[in-house]
This record gives sequence, structure tokens and C-alpha cells, in this order.
Amino acid sequence: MTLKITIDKELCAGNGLCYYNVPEVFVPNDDGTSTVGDPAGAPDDEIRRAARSCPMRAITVTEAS
Amino acid sequence: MSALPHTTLSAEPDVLADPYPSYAAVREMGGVYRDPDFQVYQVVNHDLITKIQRSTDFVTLLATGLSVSLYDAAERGMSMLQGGADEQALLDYMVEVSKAVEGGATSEPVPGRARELATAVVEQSPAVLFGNEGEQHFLHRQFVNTWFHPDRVDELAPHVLAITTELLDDFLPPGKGELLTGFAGPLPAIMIQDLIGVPRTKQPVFFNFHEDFIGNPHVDVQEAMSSIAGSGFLGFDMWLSEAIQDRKVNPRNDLVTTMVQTRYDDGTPVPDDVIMGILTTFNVGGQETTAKTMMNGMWTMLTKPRIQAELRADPSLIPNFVEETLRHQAPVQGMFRLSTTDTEIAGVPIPAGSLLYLAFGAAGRDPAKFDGPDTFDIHRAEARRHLAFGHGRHHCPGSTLARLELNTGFEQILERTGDIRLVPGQETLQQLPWFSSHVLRGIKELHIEFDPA
Repeated sequence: MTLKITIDKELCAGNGLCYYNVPEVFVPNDDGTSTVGDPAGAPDDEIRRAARSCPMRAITVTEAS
Repeated sequence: MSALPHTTLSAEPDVLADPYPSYAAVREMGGVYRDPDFQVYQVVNHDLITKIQRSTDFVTLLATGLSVSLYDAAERGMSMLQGGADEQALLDYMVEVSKAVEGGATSEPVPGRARELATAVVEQSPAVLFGNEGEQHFLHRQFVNTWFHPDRVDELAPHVLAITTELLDDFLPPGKGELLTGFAGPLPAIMIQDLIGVPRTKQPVFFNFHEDFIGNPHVDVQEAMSSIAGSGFLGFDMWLSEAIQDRKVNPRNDLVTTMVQTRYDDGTPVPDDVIMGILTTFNVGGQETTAKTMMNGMWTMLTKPRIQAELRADPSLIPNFVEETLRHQAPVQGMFRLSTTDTEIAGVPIPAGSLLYLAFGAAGRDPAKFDGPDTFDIHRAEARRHLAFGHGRHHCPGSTLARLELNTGFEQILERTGDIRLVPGQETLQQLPWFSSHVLRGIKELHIEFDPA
């Protein structure tokens, strides 16, 4: 099952924990903020942990319907 | 034409007590204003500050944390860039200015031992996080992010609660006290020093939450370096320097040991001066910012009794109350950036080598971002969108720990008291004693009274 991952573009401060730890899914933009690359690029629990790692709580992960 | 705004850069007491009208004046002018007295561009709009912090055209400058030689830094940065300096030369320049300012090298010699210490310390403390940029910064930043990963901070909750309990056991019984020295200061100071690995017996010597030094343009650097040499910042650096060597042979469960054991991808250890730079940053950044937030939040709560009643009735509102405090009364009112290229912001041309002051405190009051921004509303849904922790690659790495400390501090002091009141005579912003900083904003002393729970 593929997760639905959304990043709040304004809240994302570019701390980089998500793309440093799960580069298969999260990709840095030129300005250091994060964007979603391949949402199925890593196991679900790793993606959920990356979302939880965001100090800004800018990443939301839901089950894709 | 209206009168030119009297900006916070001057650190005049009346502006520091209530900086928000001065920000509003700059906002009226379009959001960017070059303060002619300091040759610094003050930026007040939420969207502009966000954009600048995401851009690599603007870099951090360690020296401006101390803010003493703004003129000098701006002029020299300008002339270097006009001369076509490359990135490495600019970084070298930033380190050099930092050393000059911190060591008092541009002024008369600091007397005796203090100067010796100052020289030794700056030589061991190059810019590592704030003041550094590029790949090296990102690498060091990830070390730090790992320590303050929200999962890790969750594990620290019992530790924060234990410190809080211990402090309140002493602070509460007399029924009255001064908040900064009794609770708001020591809570984050003990926590960060416990993490770093400073023994409890030494910690009070390294408390810096009461220092009025950072971002204070009135301070005489030589005098300040001399006066704090034996007790504060320099003492910590001396301890740390010894601790790094000690932990290489006697590992413990602390951040000095973690850093000593950390390896870069190629297997090389982290140099001692980098460890010094990172942990010194944490010792300063981990104390006074959180302390000031608790002071500002407590004052706001006590001047609006309905807020205290609501938080007592429903403690689950405390985290958003903390966010609203950060938005409404930011403890870091702003930070400096240096432009590395000719650019423009909101139509204002910014030459390469200009200093900018990004007013985080003003961003929290931006009406384009927050409805009725001057109203303190603990139910505000978007409170968390403040810029009190900065933004971009230099966003405060300790924000998750700071939030834990603030939430725990307010929860516990409310739970263990029946009512908290201000000692009369502290009801207005102008009546309060403020730190003399245009970087930090906080109440120096707050006298409160409380009933037992």
C-alpha cells in the first residue's frame, strides 16, 4: 500500500531530517525545503518515522485510499 | 513624508520595551527599511523573511551575534565583494571578523588573563553552525538534528520533569519569588548542561541566562570579556576544552562523548574546534532563549487572568499557549544576514555585502499572516506558523527540546499552585526591566506571588 505524503510548503523550514534520513522518498529543493520524490521508495515505517522527525510537523502521512 | 522609524537596532529602552510600533512603521514603508544609523536593512514581513532565509544569497555572520561592529563588518564585507572575493574568502572574512569582535582585537588590549583566555577561546571556536554555510554546515547540522530528533526528545521528558520538580520544590514554598533566577533560567540551563555533560556542581558558574551581552550594542566588548572571563562563557569554554580530552579516554553518557565518538563518512573524527563550536552554541542557545520565552509567557498570562483560568481548566491548551507566546513575544526578535550578491527585496535594491536584520518578532505580528496579530489568543489555530525559531537551514535545532521544557514548566507551575499573581508595579511593558539587546527580547526580572495548590 502506498502512503499519501504531503508537505506543508510554508511550514517546512528546511531542517533536512527527512531527506537526510530517507533520501529514497524525500528530496531537497534548491532552497533546502523538502519535496516528495517516490512515495513508495521506502518501507512505510521509515516514512512515518521521517514524518515524526520533522521539528515543524510539516509532513503529513495518510493511507492512500 | 512620515517620520523615519526608530528601529530596534538602536536598542533604546522605549523601543525594546515595545518594538512592535517600530516594526509596523517599517511595514507601512513596504517591509524593508535601511536604518541610516546602522546601515542595516531591517526586514519585517513574514514572507520576505522566510524567502531570505531559504536563499543562499544571504549568509549568517557569527560576529553579528554580538552586534558590536556592524558598521565595520558591513563596510568590509562590501569592499571585499566589490573586489570579487570568492566564497572561501568571504567565509574566511566572516571568521576573522568574529574573532576580532570576540577577542576585542580591534580595540585596546583586554587586561591580563582575560585577553589571554579570549584569544585562546576564539582560536578554538571557528564558526561551525551559525556563521557557517554550505555542505560543511549541512553535515554538522545533521549531527545536531540527530540529538534533538523528536523521538529522542520524547525520551528526555522524564529528565525535564525531574529538573522542573526539583526547582519548584525550592521555588514554591516561600509563596513568592523572582521567576528568572528561581525557575525560568535554571530549567533550560540545567537541562542543556546535563546533556552536554557539565557536572551539576560546576553548572551555576556557566549559567548565562542572566547575561546582557548578546546583541547589546551598548556593551563594551573589552569590559564584557573581562567581566565574564572567570565565570561565564570563557569558563565554560575552558571546561569544555578539558572535557573533550577527558572523554576521549573516559567516555560517558553525554554530548561531549557523543561528539568525540562521531565520525564523518570517511571515518575521520570530528576536530576538537568543531566540537567546541557546536557545544558552545548549545550552551548559549539552550539557556537564554527558553528562559526569555517563559518570562514573556508568564508575564502575558498574569496580565490576562482569563488565560491563567483557561490553562488551569484545560492544561491541554498549554502547548498552543507556548506557540502563541513565541509568536506574540518572540524571545529572539531578529538575526542578521549578509548579502553575498547584488539583489533586491520587495523592490529595494540590496547591494552585495549588505547587512540585513530579519525581524522574527515582527513576522509574528504580520497582519498578512495572522488575523488581528496584536491580540494574544491561546486558541489561535495558526500560532505555530511564527518565525521565532527562525527558518531555513539555520532554523533553531533545539526547538523540539525548547518546546518540551516550556510545556513542562508551565504545566508543572500551574499544577502545583492555586493562583499566580504579579507583584504590583509590573503591569505594563514600560514598567518592566528589559535586556538591552536587539537580538534577544526578554524581561530581566519578574516578581510573582502564588498560593499553594
